[in-house]
Amino acid sequence: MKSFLLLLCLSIIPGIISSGLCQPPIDELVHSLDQLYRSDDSYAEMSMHIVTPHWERILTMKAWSHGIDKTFIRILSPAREAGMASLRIGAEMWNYLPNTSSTVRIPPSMMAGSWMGSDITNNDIVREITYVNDYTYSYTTDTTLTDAQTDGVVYIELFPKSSTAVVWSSIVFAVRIEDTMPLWEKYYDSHGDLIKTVTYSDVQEMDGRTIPAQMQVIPADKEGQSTTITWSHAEFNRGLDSSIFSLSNLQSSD
Amino acid sequence: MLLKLAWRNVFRQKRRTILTLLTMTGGFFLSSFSIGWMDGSYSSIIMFFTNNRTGQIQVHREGYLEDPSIYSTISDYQTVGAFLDSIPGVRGWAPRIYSGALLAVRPRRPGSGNVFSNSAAASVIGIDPAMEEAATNFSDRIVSGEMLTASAADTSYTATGRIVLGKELSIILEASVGDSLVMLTQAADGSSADRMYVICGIVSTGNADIDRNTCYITLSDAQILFALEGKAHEIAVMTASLGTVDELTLDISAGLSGRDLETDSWKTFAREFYNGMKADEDSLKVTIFIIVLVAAMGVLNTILMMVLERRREFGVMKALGTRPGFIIRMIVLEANIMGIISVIAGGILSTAALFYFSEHGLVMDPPLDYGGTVFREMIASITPECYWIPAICVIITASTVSFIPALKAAHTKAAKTLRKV
Repeated sequence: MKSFLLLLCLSIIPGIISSGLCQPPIDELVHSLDQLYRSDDSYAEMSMHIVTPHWERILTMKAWSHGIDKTFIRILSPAREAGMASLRIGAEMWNYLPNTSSTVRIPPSMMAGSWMGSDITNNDIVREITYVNDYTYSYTTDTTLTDAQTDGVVYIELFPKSSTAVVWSSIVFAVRIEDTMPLWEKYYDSHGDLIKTVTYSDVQEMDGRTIPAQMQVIPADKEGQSTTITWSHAEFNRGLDSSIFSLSNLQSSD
Repeated sequence: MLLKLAWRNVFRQKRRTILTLLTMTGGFFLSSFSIGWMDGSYSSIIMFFTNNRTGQIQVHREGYLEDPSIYSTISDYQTVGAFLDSIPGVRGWAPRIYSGALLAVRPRRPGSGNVFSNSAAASVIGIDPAMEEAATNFSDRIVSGEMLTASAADTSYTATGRIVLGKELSIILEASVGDSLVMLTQAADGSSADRMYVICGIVSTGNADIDRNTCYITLSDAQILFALEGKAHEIAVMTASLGTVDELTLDISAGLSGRDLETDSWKTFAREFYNGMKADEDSLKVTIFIIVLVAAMGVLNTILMMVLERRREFGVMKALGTRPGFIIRMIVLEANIMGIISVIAGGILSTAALFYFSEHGLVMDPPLDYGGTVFREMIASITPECYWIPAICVIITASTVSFIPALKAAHTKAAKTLRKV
């Protein structure tokens, strides 16, 4: 009996230490990840650097968002794609093609396809999912999933709920405790194989918010391929004209 | 002396001989005809399938079949084509470009403006209209509108802006001939490419799965759209006959060595179809084996009867001092003479029947759907297998089945046999 109590104490104490003293409350942390780039509305200027074994290109763009269900992106350069725009309202997505001055609806079958040739899919842009509502999560110390570094970094494993339609079956987040900034995010399939890695870096303050100004997506199955998005300017919660998110704005060439 | 005796014996009892000959000829004819029919119907299915679409041989960049990437191109397809033209047995060749795209059509309701909301993902195949026509008779499958147009020697890369849609795809898009269509895709240089096309035709290949997600533009249009000037992903080669395919594949492969290209026959690139065909063919072979076996039993039966009927005769021969070996040889020779006669007679009969069915064929009603491709007519073919397999069967059966009764006859006790009569 004595030894049992001792065992009980020994097993509880590290738990109290790790959860109570080192790790921030998990709900708050996951919520902060959800809100990283999100706000009631936002405006951002960014560049997207796509590298493949066959070609490499940089696109610059402006992006507007409202809540989690409306996004508008206009390509500024290169010249061949300048003026192209994507509008997404809820689960629907439209592309404006200035070359043929036409607006094309993206069919559901192509939502998993690449956006502008990058490693970001149309689904990634359309996604209305939040980690808090659509995933179950817990801290993990599984060393096969985490880095060697554990000082000041926590690792969260997220599993999509059965109602969440995604192609991966788990996500592991590495988050710096000091400023709750994510370091990286790894997506795994049902066999436990890595699908893609997203790394976050260059933490900056923009319009009063702290965000990683650089995000890199590296697909695991395509060697030598990556997409890097760099924020050069961002504004949050300044109020946006709702006419931005309309088919007519899509077809205007500003 | 032996041959003379055997020959005379054959014609001594005409009714018995005719009966034996009929059984053997019938056996030969049945086996021969079923082999020719099986061979012909499979050849015609394979030729129909390959002529319609894939060709019998294909040339790709090394590794393209395993991983069909837009970047794995044949960079000098014109040179490869010129080489193919120089090979006897090559009936034609067709260069193709394969990629995917988003197609969108304006809905018919008024006020749609420039919003192309009827959209679908599709495979885009760039074809050289003239060469495709020569190789696969593409225009035969156009069900409305007309074929793409461009000259075979079109190297100026001028866009025609015309597109042919698969029938089911046109239904999904609610599009018909004359409508405008926007295509959005990604070119080989990474840029996003969009172009407007006018639908000039609707095609039905007989395979609904393919027609549901395939559209065709000219090779030059595809080279411009995908930034693949002067390049192709595939060269489909049409051969004059199926029998020479394996040999030609080796020839082409040898001629193209050192170019980082791979040459495959339909057995490789249409592996599923080939395996299906092979499984079917194997089960039919069992049927043919049974037919041959039944024919052999008939031969055994008649020869056994013949020998038993002539026991007294052999008894007399033995009594006159004929050696057993002589009797055995005589009976086996008799059976073989009849075997040869029935092979000749059966050969003439089956040639006539096979020739008729190779010319006229048998119309399938309802048509046979094989892996989505519909076949309407079966024809027979005349191959060496139609003759040598049944011929060997008849001769071997005649020799072996006559040997046992011959052995029995040879060892007839002369006195005992004669006393019985």
